[in-house]
Amino acid sequence: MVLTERAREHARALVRGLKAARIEVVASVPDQWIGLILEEVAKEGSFRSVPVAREEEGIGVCFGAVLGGKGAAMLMQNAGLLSSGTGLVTLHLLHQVPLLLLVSYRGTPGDPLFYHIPKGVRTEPALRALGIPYFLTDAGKDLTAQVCRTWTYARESAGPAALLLTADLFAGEDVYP
Amino acid sequence: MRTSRVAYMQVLADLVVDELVVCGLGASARYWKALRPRPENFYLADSMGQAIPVGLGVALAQPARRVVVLEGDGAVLMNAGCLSTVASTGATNLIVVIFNNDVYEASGGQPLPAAPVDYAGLARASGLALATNLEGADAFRSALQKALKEPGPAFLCLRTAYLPDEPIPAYDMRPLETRLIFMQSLGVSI
Repeated sequence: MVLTERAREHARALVRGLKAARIEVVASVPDQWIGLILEEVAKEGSFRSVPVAREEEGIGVCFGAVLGGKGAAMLMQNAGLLSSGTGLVTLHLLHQVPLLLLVSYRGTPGDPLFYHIPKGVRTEPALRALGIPYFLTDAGKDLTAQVCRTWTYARESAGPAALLLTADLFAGEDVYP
Repeated sequence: MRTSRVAYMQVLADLVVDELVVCGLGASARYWKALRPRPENFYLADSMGQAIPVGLGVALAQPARRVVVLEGDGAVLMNAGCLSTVASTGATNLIVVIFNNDVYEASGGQPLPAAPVDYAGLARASGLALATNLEGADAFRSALQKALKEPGPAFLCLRTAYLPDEPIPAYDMRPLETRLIFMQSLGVSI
């Protein structure tokens, strides 16, 4: 996949959103899209970036960071979301602790790689089953505000809230017509 | 004969003063709550394998406070990758204490996978240089005194007796209450 300058600008806007939301701790497991965001997280320089070995572990690190008084976000692919259910339920939902999830939404019609599709089909049903509110990015609107609103929603609902990063942010139109 | 968990816990009770303590679910949380209830304790209730990641998050958010994690060996096996994460962060204010009794104690003493795991060796191989296997309350006392004074992260694994006739204290605090009291003790809010 070719990650274009347009994709990079979207990544920058998302990171501006993390900054504006006063997120301080960013845990992550990358895929290609998340990797682009992490490059911008590193350039920004003020976040405590914590690459973790497994997504559910990152859920725990974020939980601890919020207990300690810092805003926290977990950046991961929907594969990681699907494997993190227990952590989200037994930490954030049980203890009513907010968490910002930035999740690359692979396997949608804009991202028709055959091995992503089973995850794409099941991502929103899984979130609904877990009772985790979620929103889909809209590349035509202010992405920075979309990150802030999702964090606000997480805080006000005292639990996780997910912003699903859609293919139109990162997949060049020339790659997936 | 191995040392009891209560004997190790008594050492902790003697030495822990203003440290934040994050307890893994089951026996670690329930014994510590019964022995030394205090606002600076956080008790996991249903999140197996998460005490070390949670403790790491607290340590990163509160760099001026020392954080002690109490966790079981089964939980370490469930989430061993987090040891490399701890090492990568270089969280100097984190002390991880493992009770190594080779069983899932809270669920009735079922055996862990029957492999002779060297937990300190696992931690060292994951990048935690200050990792030690210990046997006996006196050895733990010396190691913990040192860990409380010097930069970590430290990893102390305690060979622990499984005593099936010793009843584990019951949970007596709700998760939301635990969280609110802990955050209040730090003077932070969401």
